[in-house]
Amino acid sequence: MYEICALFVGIGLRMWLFRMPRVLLWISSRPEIETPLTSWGRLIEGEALMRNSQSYQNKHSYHGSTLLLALISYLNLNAPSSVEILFIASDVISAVALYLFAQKFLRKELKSQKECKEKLFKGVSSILIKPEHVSKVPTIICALYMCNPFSLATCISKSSVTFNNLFLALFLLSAVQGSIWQMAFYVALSTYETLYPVQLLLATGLCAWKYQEKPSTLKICYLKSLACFTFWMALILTLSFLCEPTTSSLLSHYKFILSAPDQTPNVGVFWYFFTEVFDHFHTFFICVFQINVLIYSIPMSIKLKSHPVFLVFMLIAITGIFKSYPSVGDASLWLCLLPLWSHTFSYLRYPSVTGAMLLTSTILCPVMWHMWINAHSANANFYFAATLAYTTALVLITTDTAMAYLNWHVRIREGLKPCVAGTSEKAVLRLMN
Amino acid sequence: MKLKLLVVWAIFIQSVVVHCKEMDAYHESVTMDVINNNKLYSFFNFTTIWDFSDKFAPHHYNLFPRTLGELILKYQVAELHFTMTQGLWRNHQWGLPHASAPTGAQLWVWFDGNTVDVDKNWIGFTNALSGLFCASLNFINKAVTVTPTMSFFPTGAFEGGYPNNKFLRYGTLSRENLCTENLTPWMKLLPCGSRAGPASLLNPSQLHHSRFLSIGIHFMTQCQSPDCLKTFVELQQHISVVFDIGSGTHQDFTLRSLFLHLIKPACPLASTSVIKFKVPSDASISPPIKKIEEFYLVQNLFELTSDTNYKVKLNKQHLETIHIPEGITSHCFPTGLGLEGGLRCSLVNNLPKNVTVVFFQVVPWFLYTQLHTLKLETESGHRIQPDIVNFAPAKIRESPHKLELVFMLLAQEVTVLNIQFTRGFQTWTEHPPDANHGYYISPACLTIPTVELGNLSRDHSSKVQRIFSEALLITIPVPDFSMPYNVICLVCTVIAVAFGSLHNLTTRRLQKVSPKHKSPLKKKIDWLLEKICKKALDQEKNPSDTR
Repeated sequence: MYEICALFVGIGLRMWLFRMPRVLLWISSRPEIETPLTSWGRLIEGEALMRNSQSYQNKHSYHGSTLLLALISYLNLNAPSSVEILFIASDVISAVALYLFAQKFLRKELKSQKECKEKLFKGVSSILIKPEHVSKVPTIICALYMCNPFSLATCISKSSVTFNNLFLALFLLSAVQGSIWQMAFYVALSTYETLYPVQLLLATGLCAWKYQEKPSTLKICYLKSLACFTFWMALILTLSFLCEPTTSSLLSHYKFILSAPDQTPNVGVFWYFFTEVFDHFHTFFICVFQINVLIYSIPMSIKLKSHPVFLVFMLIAITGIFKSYPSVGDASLWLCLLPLWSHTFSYLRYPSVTGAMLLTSTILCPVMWHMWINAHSANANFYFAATLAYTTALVLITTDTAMAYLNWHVRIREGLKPCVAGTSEKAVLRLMN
Repeated sequence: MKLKLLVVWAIFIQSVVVHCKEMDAYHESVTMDVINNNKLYSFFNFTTIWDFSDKFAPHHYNLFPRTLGELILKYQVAELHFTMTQGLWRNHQWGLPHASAPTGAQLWVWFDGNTVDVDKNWIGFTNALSGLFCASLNFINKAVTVTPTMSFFPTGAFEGGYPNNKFLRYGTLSRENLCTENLTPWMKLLPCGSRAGPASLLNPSQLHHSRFLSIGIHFMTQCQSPDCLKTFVELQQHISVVFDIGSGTHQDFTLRSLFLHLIKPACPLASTSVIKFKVPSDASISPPIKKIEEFYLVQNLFELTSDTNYKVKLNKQHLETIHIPEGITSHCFPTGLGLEGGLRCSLVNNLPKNVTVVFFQVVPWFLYTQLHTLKLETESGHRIQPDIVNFAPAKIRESPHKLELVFMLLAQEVTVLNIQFTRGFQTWTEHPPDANHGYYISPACLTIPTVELGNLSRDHSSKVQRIFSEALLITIPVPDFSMPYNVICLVCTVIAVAFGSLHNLTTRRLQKVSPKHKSPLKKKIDWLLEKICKKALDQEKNPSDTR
């Protein structure tokens, strides 16, 4: 019941904000929300260029995907008011998908917890997942996603990150159902939009292996997911090719993501680094930064083999922080999923520090931007510092959550106050080889 | 012996015949126009015509400058137009110029129809030209070069029928200043240099005390007959100067007062050499000039026996200024605040009829121009639909934005063209040394057919007149130039924090250890420290033992 309220409040907020032109204007100029890859202004420009010139070679201002441009230009031509409805609907479907996913996931976790009761230490019942979690947490997640300022701003600015979040939310839902076809479809869609979700393929196999009705080996799950992904990707690329019979815009879309030539400020680590790096190191550091986004998938898949949903969460978080053109919309998805691990929150090392850091840096970013660009009383370093603080806060939240999660898993087997083996001396949990 | 003599004679005849086949002629003139009784517009025109019945491939250079000829041959240039200008030509006060030029350096070249790699030739030619004229034309790289499709057609003959625009390259550097260093090599291209004829008036330092100064070089092939079976090449060198001749009581001027030089008799190599004056009817010139030709007082410089200082006496009571009939004027200015910016061009059409014009504008790649914000309307709010809109967006760091429009300027109306752009960001090495000076958007070019302007144009030989607007200065946000090392360190630290934590989490396991448990490294450090402290204590107790 509360979730329906939350949905309606979210829809109401969005519809009200869409009617305020000054808010729309202010948000469309915010670099934290709009990036050259995802902004609505660039999409409209791409549409105007497409209508103006007969050839497809001329769309250099627009760096996004072809299918999105085709869809939006079709809607703009035939039903202009339906574009707002599309964005609101996308947010609503994401919220509903996250609600269903959280419900199913927590139910399955509770069930597996009951089945393994003998393996658990006695007396850890205070930190275990409780039935209230299954009823409260999905509602909280749904409400968070609909009403948090990051996803509100992303929806109002009509950025394509909304669709990316939709695909990832639907991927999570299909992951917990164990359906390989659906998982591969959503991974293919997200990969087509922004290249980085391809690393979710590693998680696809693991999710299928854990949550499928028919048990099978991990190898078969991986092969199946790879085959399904290839099929869906080929289908999407064919559709894209039919919309526009040249490969140049597709290649330029991926080239833009990978080589990050536009140094417009955003909340990421790329822009100021590549503004200031020495020319002869440019290519080297581009490779390093791009590898940095993708490299964590393999070791995390090995470590979190039996916790595939947490693996997906970590991969989404890392991608959202370190990708070439991130925005606050990328962070809004995984920040909303934090209540899923609320049972591990007592083992967070510094939640207030990271929370305060995130809040402060989010508020400081527009202030520093105004001082740099409009008032000319600050320089680029001020804004860079604010975005660096934001990135650090997100990194610390991610690593702290991971640490707390692993800590919880050890504690439920070793007890709330574990002892050193053989003695009654209180032990300390430390990361050791 | 007789045979040898015959052979020598035959060779001599052949060379003479060859020389006679390629006949070149040099014409020089200077036109002095008094505008509004307070400005003097001097237009120097030096034209070398070389009659080639076939392609331009000279064996001997005579009057045509060899330095330029060799460059034209090497880079397969069919047509060259190069101007460097200081100041802004004010159409509404001074009328249309003999040869229009935008502020800064402008270079547009049509290459030969059988050129293999036009871009390679363009880069080579701009670099060679920058060496020839001591101008930094080497900054005309691919990020500044465009290929206009409708504005810059060849003025002369072009081989191969209808010109394919892929042989045209256009580049402008509005930041380029015109110096005396540019004038010196320019004057060296003249057959007589600055020793005779109108060129003797050209005093580089004095020329810079003017309101407007523009030097230009134009090379083209012209047809001798309508069927164009025979062609000749034409090299035109122009200088346009606009001097203030004062207001108030002192309105007489002499050549010496303006140029600090006297005009010398004609260059002996010239075929024609004239000085023309266009003054109000109640003004007087001494020494007097008798010949009148189409409102100009023409003096043949061959008739001069010595250096002459022409003195023009203007009637002080001539209060009513000669009304320059206003044709079409353009005025552009930047708009916007913060990151949002815009370009607004106000085009005034004072003629009694509608005129179709071609509007051409190049915007640097880092000012992301948005086509969907293009608005063309009259001041009264009436929306104008352009006939053709040709917009090529920029490729980052590879080509600039190019906007070409064909539309109709309504009679007696002000048309306003508006387009928005977003200021972009460049890397710290791409900023020029004075980054806070700003960046120039090159002047907009309005191309108008000469027939529409009728008597307003001073130059009746060309089919189109070009009106250039102001060059606009735009500032873009600059990074901190002192910070490269700091930024690299800070960003790498943040990434290392993430990498380190995740590396620890994935390669190690959480294990129960005693709180007193020390890692092997810590054990070793403690042992070392203990040893050092023990040794120091021993030394203190027994200082004699250490000797």
